[in-house]
Order: sequence, then C-alpha cells, then structure tokens
Amino acid sequence: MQNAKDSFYIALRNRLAVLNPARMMTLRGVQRPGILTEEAEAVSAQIAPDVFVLRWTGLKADLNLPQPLLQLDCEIHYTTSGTQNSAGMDRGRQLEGMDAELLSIVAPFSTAKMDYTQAPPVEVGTTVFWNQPAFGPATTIRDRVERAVKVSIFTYQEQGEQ
Amino acid sequence: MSADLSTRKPNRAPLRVADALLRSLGGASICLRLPLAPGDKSDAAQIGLAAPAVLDVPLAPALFRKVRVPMQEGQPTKYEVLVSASAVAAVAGEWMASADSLFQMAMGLVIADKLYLIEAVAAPELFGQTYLYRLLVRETRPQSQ
Repeated sequence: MQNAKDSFYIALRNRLAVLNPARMMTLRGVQRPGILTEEAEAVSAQIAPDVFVLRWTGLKADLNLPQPLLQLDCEIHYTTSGTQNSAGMDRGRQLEGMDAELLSIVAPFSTAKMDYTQAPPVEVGTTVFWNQPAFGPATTIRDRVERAVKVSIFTYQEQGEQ
Repeated sequence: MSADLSTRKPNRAPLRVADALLRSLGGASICLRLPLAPGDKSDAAQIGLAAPAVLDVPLAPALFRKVRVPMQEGQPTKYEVLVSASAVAAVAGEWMASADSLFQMAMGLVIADKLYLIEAVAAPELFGQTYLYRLLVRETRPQSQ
C-alpha cells in the first residue's frame, strides 16, 4: 500500500507543479511544489501555511476478491492567513484559490501505480484510483482559515507488493 | 499622544548582559539540527525513503530548564531553552537567513544527544535589540533503530 500512497502524492505534486508553478515552498533546503506528505517530513507544531498537507488516516481491505482491494483514506489539509499586501483580508479568496487548485489536481481520478523503492521507479502494473473529494467546512482559528478534504484511494494489493 | 524621540546610541549592552547572565547560570551548549544545504531533490527524499542529511550547529551560551506546567498523563515533558541572540545571529549570518527562518528551517534541538522539537519561539527585545531567544521545546517520542 505504500506504493499507492507514494504514487498518489507524486501524481498530485506533478499536477500542482503544472497547474500553479507559483505555489512553491522551501523545505529542508529544497524549493519544491507546495504539497507534502505529513508523515514523511519533520514534525512541526503547526501546519505550514499555503501548502497542501497529505495526512493518511483510515485503511480498509476487501479480501473477497482475486486480489485484495485496499481503501486508504487521505485527509488533505491546507491553511492560509491571506497575503501581506491585503493585510490578510483576502484569506477567504486565498482559501477558495486552494480549493479550486485541489479540485483540479485530483482529476483525473487515477494514476499508474509505481514502485519508488527502485531507481528509476518501475510501474507495478495496476492503477491507483480515488473518489471525488469531500470538502469539509472552512475553520477559522484567529487569523488563519483552514480546510480538510477527504479522499479515499483504492488500490489492488499485488503479490509481494509493499 | 506622545512619542519618545530621545536619542539612544545603539550598543550591544543588552546582548552582553544576556550572554553574561546565561554563562553565570550554567552556559550550556545546545545544537540546532538543520537540513544540510543543498537538500535532496529526489522523489525518495519526499516520500520518506531517503534519510535526510542534517548538520548539528552548536549554539552557546544557552540555558535549558524544565517548564513548570501541570503534568498530564501521556504528555511529553516540555522545556524552555534560553539561547544567546549573538550566537543565533552568528549562525543566521552564516546561513544567510533571519533568526525566524533559521528556527523554522530547524528540525529540532539536540541537547545531550537527545532530540527536542521546537514548539514556539519568542524574541524579547530591549531598545529594539533582541537580546536572547526563548524556545519552548518538547521531548521527542522514542524512535526505533
């Protein structure tokens, strides 16, 4: 299932880099598209603003099939305080911009499953697919406004696959 | 409404006093764990496959003490670290970063070979000069070998 998680993240990252090249962040000395997997980065006290943070939560397995079908639940969190030029009063607009970006990068709702433990990465042979995003309510915490979006990712577990 | 327009010569007295105070209270040395620049740009580094290269940068004088907060079951102990602003400025200058971005970039503090996570940073000032940094840190959970 790690292959599915990695493939989902890399697909969204590559799509974001094409859709909005300006949404960049500097993390661990590297400038890269503004999306990260929370469990693969250093622990931080707060979610970084203006970037998409992928948090893996639930896991379900359907074993009554020739190949086990796994459902991985992913929460995509993002928060913004607006821009300095607008004294933060455009935070609603910024959040709406991120909503639209997320809606764009999740489509199409599938990607090829890759094994990133090998260099160069190799195709596993099946696809990773997911459902439509379920947008949670916008939450205001002082000067920040944030949202969590839930997406369920489905993948077949191949024999001997991680 | 009135403004204080009196002239003050900028000097480093607040920093020297803070450094002397930190030294007199123990003058410990702590390390800021920073990612090695330039970082790893590979996919493997972004999905937790490649171990990050880090550099422990020493900061001294510093003071490390336990924060007196009500104990709660399962909650890691929190500590307060007071660190010299002149030491932080020297490191920040070396990394061409502001002190704020230096602490944001840091993956934690290493004190006596133990990693602590930075929860909050405060920078008290006197006459417009930051004379020390107060960091609220907490112990990391044990990590497997």
